[in-house]
Amino acid sequence: MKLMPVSLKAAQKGLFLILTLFILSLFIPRAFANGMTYKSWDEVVTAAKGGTVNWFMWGGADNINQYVSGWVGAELKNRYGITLKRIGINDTAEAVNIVLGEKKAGIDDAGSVDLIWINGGNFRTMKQAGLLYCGYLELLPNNRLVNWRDASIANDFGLPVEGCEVPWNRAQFAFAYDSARTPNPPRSIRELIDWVKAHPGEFTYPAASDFNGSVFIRHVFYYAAGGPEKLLGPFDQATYDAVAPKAWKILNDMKPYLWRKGQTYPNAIAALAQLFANKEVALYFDYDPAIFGVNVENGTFPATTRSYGLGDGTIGNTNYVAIPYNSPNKAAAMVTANFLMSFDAQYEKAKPKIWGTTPAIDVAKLTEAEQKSFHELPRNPAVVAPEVLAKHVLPELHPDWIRAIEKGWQENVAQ
Amino acid sequence: MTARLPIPLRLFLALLICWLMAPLIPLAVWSGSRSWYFPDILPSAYSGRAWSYVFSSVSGVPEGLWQSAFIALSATLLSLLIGLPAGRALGLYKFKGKALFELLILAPLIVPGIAAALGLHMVFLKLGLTGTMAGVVIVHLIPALPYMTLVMASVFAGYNPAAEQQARSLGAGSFQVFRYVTLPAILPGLLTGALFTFLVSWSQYILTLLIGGGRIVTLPLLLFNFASAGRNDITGAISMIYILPGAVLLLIAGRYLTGRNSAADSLRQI
Amino acid sequence: MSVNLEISGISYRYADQNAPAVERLSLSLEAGQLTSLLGPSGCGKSTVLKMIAGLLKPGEGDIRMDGQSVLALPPEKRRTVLMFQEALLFPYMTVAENIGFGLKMQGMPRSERETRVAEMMSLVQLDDLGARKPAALSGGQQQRAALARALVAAPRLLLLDEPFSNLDATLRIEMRSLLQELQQKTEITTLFVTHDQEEAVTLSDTIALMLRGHLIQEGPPDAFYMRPESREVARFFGSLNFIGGRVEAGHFLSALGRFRLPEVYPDGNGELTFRPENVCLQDMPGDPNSFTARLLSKEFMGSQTRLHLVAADCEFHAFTSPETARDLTEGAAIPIFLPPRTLRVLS
Repeated sequence: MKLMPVSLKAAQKGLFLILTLFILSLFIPRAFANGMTYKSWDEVVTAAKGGTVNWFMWGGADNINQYVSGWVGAELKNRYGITLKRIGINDTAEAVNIVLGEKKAGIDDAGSVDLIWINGGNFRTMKQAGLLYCGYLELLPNNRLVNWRDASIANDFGLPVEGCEVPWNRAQFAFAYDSARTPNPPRSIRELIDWVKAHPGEFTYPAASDFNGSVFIRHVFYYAAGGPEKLLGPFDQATYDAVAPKAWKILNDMKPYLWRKGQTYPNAIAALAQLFANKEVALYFDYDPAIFGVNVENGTFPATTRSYGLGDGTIGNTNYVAIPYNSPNKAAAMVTANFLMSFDAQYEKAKPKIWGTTPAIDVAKLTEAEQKSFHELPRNPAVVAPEVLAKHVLPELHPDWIRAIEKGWQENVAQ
Repeated sequence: MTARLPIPLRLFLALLICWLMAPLIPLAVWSGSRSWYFPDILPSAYSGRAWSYVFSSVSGVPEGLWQSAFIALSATLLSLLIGLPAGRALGLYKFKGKALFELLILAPLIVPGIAAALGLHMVFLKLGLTGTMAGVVIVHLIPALPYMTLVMASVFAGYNPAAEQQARSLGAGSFQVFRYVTLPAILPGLLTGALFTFLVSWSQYILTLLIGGGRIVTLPLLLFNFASAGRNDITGAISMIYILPGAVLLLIAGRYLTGRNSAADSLRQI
Repeated sequence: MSVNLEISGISYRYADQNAPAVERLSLSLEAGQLTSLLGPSGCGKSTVLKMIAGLLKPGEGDIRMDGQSVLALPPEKRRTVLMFQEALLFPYMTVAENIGFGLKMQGMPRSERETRVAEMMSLVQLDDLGARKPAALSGGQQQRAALARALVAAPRLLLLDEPFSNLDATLRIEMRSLLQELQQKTEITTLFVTHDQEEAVTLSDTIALMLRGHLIQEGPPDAFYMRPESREVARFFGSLNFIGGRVEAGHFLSALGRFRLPEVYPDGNGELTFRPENVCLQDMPGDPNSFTARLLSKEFMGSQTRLHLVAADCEFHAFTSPETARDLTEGAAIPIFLPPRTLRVLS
């Protein structure tokens, strides 16, 4: 080894350099695809032209499907030359799993999902697994309409959004009842506990495995904890151990007075809607109050349906659209997300005949005329006014908390 | 030859059909109703809204119907091409490892679909078959092929291949032997197998979703959207469309199969 | 139409067996002849038929029709119709369609086909059954239809694989004469496989006897009775008696005595065989072919009675009429005469 020729040394150096460059080059396309590659909005719009957006979203509401496939699709085509393909799924997790599978298989730039309607646990899964395209929000012109200072927008179920998703809707839990049958429904969890005992068989709630059932159980949990304040932030076992037994006791005491004596719980919110429609139970609730109006419109619920929030507040959240890291149509997806935040799209969606859901943008940031349009929107009498609900809004919890509560319910109440 | 069924047996068959059809009646009523409250026997208001949504361009149902039909027909044809020779080998011949082969054929029916599906997803992704019609057709073969192969194996187990030799020595070429001898003999079983395969493919949900990646939208995908959301009217309307091809095929096949009974009987004798 | 068939040295071994089913078998059939391929079940005779029909491919040897090798022809091009033990009528076709199948495959127009089928159906006495399905026919009718189907196609060679063995005795005899009649009328070269020597003898011009994959003896039926070439052949054709000894100067020497022979055999060890029905129960004083035997037992067999006899420790059998046998008691001494022309020596 002591007599290594100079030329060989040079060759080694050259080889090393080439190897380094090669390894570096492997990272470039990936960085290029995932990083900020567009300098201006115009550049994005130009790149988006002619693109196709595969938007995976829960497909169980014909009015939402019609809004997205019909109105939004037509507007995107006319304004930006983008083809929108709505892909109806049963559960958002199905789309998350597709992206997860693609990542495992090394498909990093030709994924099948361009946009997902998402929030909560699914967002957390995707964000933590690095499945999201982030950091483009500053580029979207309509981002200025979002009030990022509102903690319930900047945090999705306790997890900071950090530029990884775009707000689309706001939802707040509310109760519904048939004013012709039940003139005086319970207006707080305290009242509900007594009301259930006074009206055996007329109340039930979906199991914790259902999204809405889980939210209802959280309201009881908040009540048992004396308010949500102690439960905010990361999961804390000691706090949980102190609160949980009280909450389970309330729910277990309620059990014999529930529909079918609590021997069984509806497994989905749709089943509770059916029970309410069939007048088997007197109360219904949903995270999206617009659904009450929709169900009256489509004849599922009686016209005398009314709704309300609780005196001690109801839980509210924001739901979003997000772009997977491996979307091959990121520019088109960004234009779509931006358009969804526009006054036109949010206003169309707020119309009761269309959907009647609460805007995710800050109406106060719109022009006078636009604000006026929002305020003059008719509202189905079955839907409680968003501003009334918003007076008492409770924050959502960190997904770890939610998981712990759902598990606790299964083990202590459902058994 | 065509003896009329005794009255009690007919009554029994009529009851059986009623029992099988009964669940479809509320679905049909739902599809045309606007509001239907428990315990009313009939809806309080009717509407064509579910149907007009289903047939509108935004619902995706017409395309879903076509895609479902194309996929199910392709899967049936392919499983026929594979299942027929495989079933013949299983039914007619003894060979080493036959028991193991039979077990492997049954495996897709025993292994839970979802467990197999996740592993398959990975393979299909790597092959670039996800999100393609071809990928969905191929993945449908997995649950469909066992039915086809087993039905064909049982058909060939009762089949006498000497009839084929007889036909050949009478001057029939391979194709003519198949057309005049093999095909008529196996046709009832073949139709049964094809019907099963078609319906298995027609009703796939999780495999279509996973391998189709949402880009291939079949009727079960659309149906589940609304069924899980509790939209009974739209669910009812899609269900009506969903059961249509199956019902039509069953009727045709049932008529044909029972009409051929005498032939099928004498086939078993040879 | 009919052809000479020449089979030379064909062999066949099934994949799952060690011993060949047929080994270097040669056989020739003259045009228009009816030959029986006779042998016990499992001797390979069906395999030979299938090779001729083209359903199996011989491992070696050649099969020629009128001098032309047919080995390269697929079965449907050989015009050799094979008829099996089962009628194998196609169940979903009518009887008439079944019979016309071969003609249809030949591409014959429907009207001509129907005429030919109708003619053939009257020949096999199925005139009014053409529209029926095969399942509606009796076993005998099915086999007649199968025969008609085979013959109507005017094959160059008719191959029959025990076609009547599933039928009862009277029907079988009826079918044999029908076959014989039709074969003589059509003069189709025919190879008839059977395990029944009586059937082979009554039916055929020539018999070819096959044992364990080999052709043992070929010739006119009576030769198998008169001149069996081996103990095996003799035994197969019902010659039950075999006496050990040797040939010396035109006579056969054994424990029973010194017998005159009908022809000249070379000197040396051999075995004397004679058929039980040729044994005479009569005294021929002074004749070297006569001796006395003792009756061991008798067995009534209907038209005749079989006697089990012994002389000088040699046991043998004889047939006699039941009338004669009635007077014989077991243990009795009986005079025996073996006519010289019924004797044959096997080496």
